[in-house]
Amino acid sequence: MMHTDLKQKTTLYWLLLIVSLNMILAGILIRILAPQLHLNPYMIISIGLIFAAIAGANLIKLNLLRHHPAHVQEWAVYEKDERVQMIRWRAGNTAFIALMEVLFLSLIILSITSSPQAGVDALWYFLAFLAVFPMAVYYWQVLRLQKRM
Amino acid sequence: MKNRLEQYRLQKGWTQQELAQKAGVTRQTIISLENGRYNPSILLAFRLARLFGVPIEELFLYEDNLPEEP
Repeated sequence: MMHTDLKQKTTLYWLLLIVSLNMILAGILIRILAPQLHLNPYMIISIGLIFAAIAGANLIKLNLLRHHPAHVQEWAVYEKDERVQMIRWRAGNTAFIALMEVLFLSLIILSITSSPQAGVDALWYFLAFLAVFPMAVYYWQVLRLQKRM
Repeated sequence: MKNRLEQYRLQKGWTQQELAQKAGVTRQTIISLENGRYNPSILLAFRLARLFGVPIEELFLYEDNLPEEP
């Protein structure tokens, strides 16, 4: 019987994979069917690829675990370990604060300059940055806290 | 907060991995506890004290900077 946590995680990563594949598909369709739109399809495809890679890598890892029942218990202990939980919570907290700071700083800069020349492309790059930035901060914090705690 | 985890573990002749398995945590957590880099939750502290069969204040030494009451 599959471990409950393993099953939940697998379902979550399958959902992430489906969402990311939809993003990739949407990007390709926009590129082919509506090139006149002020959207950057490559940006949507890139973010979709990043999420698909994360989901795919985790699904492979979870699938390998499922075939090695001896490691499932070890994995379950790791997932429920209070230090690991604390590291994840603190990393998530820092990533959220960093995201808010960047967002507010950007809005302040935008309101001061109120530059209409920024354009739609710049906005797309900025939105893509906002999607990836907290993730990068999160993983950086996890690595940092694992050494410190 | 200081602790005598390593001392009691060695007395019992357990490895860090063995203690981690008994306490239901990772070996890395035991290492961090012994190095004083991580303070455990009250539940884990009680679990560890029970494993060694000692009171919690014997295993974990609470230190604060508050002045003593007159």
